[in-house]
Amino acid sequence: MNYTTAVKGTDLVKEYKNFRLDIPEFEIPQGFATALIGENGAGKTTLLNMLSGIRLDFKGDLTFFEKYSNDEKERNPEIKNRIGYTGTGKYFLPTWSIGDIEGISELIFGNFDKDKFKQICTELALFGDQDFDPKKKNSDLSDGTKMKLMLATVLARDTDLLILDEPASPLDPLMRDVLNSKISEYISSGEGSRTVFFSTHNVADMESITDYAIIMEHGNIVEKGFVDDLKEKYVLVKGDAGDTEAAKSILYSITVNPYGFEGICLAQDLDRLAGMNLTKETPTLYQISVAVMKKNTRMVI
Amino acid sequence: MLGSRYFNITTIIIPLAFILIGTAVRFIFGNVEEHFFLSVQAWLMIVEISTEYYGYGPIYRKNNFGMEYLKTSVNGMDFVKKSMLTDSFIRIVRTFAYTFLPAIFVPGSMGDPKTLLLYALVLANVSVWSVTSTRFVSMYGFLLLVAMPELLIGIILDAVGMLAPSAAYPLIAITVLLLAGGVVFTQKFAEKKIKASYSDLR
Repeated sequence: MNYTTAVKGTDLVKEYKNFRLDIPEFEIPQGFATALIGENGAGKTTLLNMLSGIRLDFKGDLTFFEKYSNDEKERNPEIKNRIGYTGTGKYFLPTWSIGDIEGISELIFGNFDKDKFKQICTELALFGDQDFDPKKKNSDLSDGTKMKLMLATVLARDTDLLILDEPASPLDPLMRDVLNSKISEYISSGEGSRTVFFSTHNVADMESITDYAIIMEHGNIVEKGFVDDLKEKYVLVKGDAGDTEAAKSILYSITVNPYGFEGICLAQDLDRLAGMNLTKETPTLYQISVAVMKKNTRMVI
Repeated sequence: MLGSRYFNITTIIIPLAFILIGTAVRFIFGNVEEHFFLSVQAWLMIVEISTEYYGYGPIYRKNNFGMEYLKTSVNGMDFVKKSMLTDSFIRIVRTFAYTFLPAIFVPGSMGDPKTLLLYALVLANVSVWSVTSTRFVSMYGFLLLVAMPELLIGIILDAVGMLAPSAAYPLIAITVLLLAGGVVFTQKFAEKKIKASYSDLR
């Protein structure tokens, strides 16, 4: 598939004491929703922090919107204001009220729409049955409501790229569905120019809006691709108990019960399972993610 | 940057209360520099240190709250820097207001203006310098503990001023230089911490 990129990275390296993020090639296709999936400690937040400008101590090159370097993005408000970011917790000063956040957003972003902010806060029921309350303190909000507030601040701006770090984690199932709708609306309103890049552990809940997936382990990208392509690359197979041992060495992941096994394998490896009594299904992105993570994990499973 | 609660408590309510009380005391007792004022001064220093509890919080600590959102804008960190510089100047204005306004409101109650000026400068110094340490802590008890050096130096300067009135001019000169240095140092220190917050690498 031909596409332009919202973000492209080459030779991205960042080292901590016991961790190294090393990504030779990285891209987020423009006009799509891309999910970044990985175990805890895989480097997802590190990567998102590098893209959003929260951290600048890394090596490598980033190109935004096909033409701007990371330095250009950091210096030019017209470019940086095209990017919205939500984080995981350490985001607003706890002493800020919603009114403070509204006022500060207007000051530091040229494209912040106060009326739209109030409208989104109301749509997301930030204040329950009550009216918009600017005196409400950020520190008094629950984790889920804090995330709603973060989303309201970024969605109230006219942006072209949203970078969201685990936006679904603190949200209830209904709000996750609303989040998916908001992401879909955001992308479709851009007519191919708007992109969303989000990290998630809630792969199943976010699958309906995920077009492209990147799976990370130990600071490296271990799998990536459009979800439709991944679903052709991998197959969910189910077989009889008698074939379990033979299948184990071929499947990426295997779940065994007394009656048989179920697992993910590469479509190109199906030949190696010839002779077994198998049923084949299209796997979900969740199943593919878990299989790929299991194959690459350092956990003893 | 700091929210209306910080501003209301530290820049309106507390100063207004001190100014009103100070005015009332001067109205009743006249010149109180040498007696009442010195004992209140230590308390004022503690209040000035404590205002940071409602302020930036532990903003110099790694991965502090509030920096991430501001970093998503090109103007965010400039906004923080300007806010901190403004805060330093507001501290100076506030401390001079506590000290001088009651004496101005009650004509004839001011003793030696040099003594009052020294008190104001010492208080301003404690207020400005203490943030370099208090902006690492979030718990109130630790806030006062880490600012003990500034508090002690402030009390010593006040005591020297009281015990040796002839040293007033040199002390005023020292405290003016310290205050100017304090504003510059705290601002440079803040900018260094802000720059360091973009890095995870030690």
